[in-house]
Amino acid sequence: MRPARRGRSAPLWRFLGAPLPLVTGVSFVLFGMSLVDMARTLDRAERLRQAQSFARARIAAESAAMHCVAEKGFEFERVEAGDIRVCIRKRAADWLIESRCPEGSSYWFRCVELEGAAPRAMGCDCAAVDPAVLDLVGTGQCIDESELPRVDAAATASAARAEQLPAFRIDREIALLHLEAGTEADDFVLAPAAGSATLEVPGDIIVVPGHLWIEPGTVPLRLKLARDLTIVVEGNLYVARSVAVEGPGHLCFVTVTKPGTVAFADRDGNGRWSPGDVMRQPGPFAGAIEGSGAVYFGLVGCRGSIRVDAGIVPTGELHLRVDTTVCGPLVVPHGVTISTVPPVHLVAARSWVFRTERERVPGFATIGGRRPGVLISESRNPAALPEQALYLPPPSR
Amino acid sequence: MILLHAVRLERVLAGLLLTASLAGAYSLRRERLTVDALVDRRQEQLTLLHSIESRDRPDTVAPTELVAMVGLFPGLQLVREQSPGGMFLGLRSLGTDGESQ
Repeated sequence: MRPARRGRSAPLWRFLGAPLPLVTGVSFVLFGMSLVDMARTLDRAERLRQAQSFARARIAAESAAMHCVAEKGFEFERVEAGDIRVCIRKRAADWLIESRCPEGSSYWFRCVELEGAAPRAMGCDCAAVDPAVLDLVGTGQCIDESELPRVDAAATASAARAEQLPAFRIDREIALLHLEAGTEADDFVLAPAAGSATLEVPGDIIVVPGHLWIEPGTVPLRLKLARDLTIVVEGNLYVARSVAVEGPGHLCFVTVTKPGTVAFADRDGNGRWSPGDVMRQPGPFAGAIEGSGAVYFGLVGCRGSIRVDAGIVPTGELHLRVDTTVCGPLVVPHGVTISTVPPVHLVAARSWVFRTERERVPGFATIGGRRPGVLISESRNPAALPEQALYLPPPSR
Repeated sequence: MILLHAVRLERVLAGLLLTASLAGAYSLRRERLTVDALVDRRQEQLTLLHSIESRDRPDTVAPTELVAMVGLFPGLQLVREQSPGGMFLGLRSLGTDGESQ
């Protein structure tokens, strides 16, 4: 048996052991490996080419939009940006931009037209007039008083009012629960029904004509925002627990000092004007004893820490009773008063800020000329969407 | 005699085939490395471009950063332009002598 098996396998071994088949096999393997490597590289190069093409189309679209914004009353415009043809069509709410590259590919973008740039401070994690505040926070940018964000009076005049919204309720006792002397102005509580609320408002600004309270609680107050929202508080803002925002929108709290009232630093922490407190505006004390325009993080008896997923823009003083983290832009026009021992900390987390040159911040006066907003890429031509048939097709016979 | 010649011819052919396949593989590898290096460089440029575009203020873009973009878009140059809406990054065609038109 053994010699016969050796006899059958010997030619095969001789064939495989011969140089030509062996070299042919090696050549095929080398060739195959080279092809696989080359294919991978070409795939990378193709993906890069697409990314390059898209970047070029986006820059061209932006460039054309920036040039078009100077032209008043245009409806449709064709612009050559480098070797790219850009078509801009003005629609009811936004602009539709098509960038056609010379190699034949087209990209679509849309953007809104902005009145101007948002206040620069809204693009900072922390912006303060007093450099001592930046030392306290450990980060941020020193700004001039003239750079402080100003509330747009015309926009707030037509904004939704808190008393018309179910997520806000007037509470006549909450101030007496937390402050010895209570308050003189109306007290609103932001209290969604089930601990989580979608704030449905007609616009993107809510005006609270009084103080706004966010009650103490063990779980954060959760708000769902489909778009950016600014809550303008014509009084003080009292925050006693964390605020979490869900959805694509960003939340900003702004406090304004009502005419006839004053802003002051509550040094003794009693929540009202008393000897030893520091006025934050010229002239004598006047108006409600609790003042207005201030923000209080933590109330008497509050413990733990607070994380507020919002931008904070007070007109008056910022008061801290607990460790506080502000996720959005924090603007401090005067100072930070800490009335606890040992002192608590203020952190500007910079989880998000606005792109002030190209993004709208609701409720604030703008600076500079008109401009297109941030370009948003459209995956397909929105103008080519199938249209609704006006008439039903005739029945088949 | 014929068998001896056939064996020799087979060896010569095998040697030629091996040399050709090694040379081909080496050439392909060199080409691949060249393309890879170019792709890497363009990828770095794209990453830099994204970082520049993510800045809120284009006036903070340094001229050296714009120079680093040369070659990313064939025949085009990235420039800073001023409009009523502020400063922005635009594209300008390059002339044959390399000067922007």
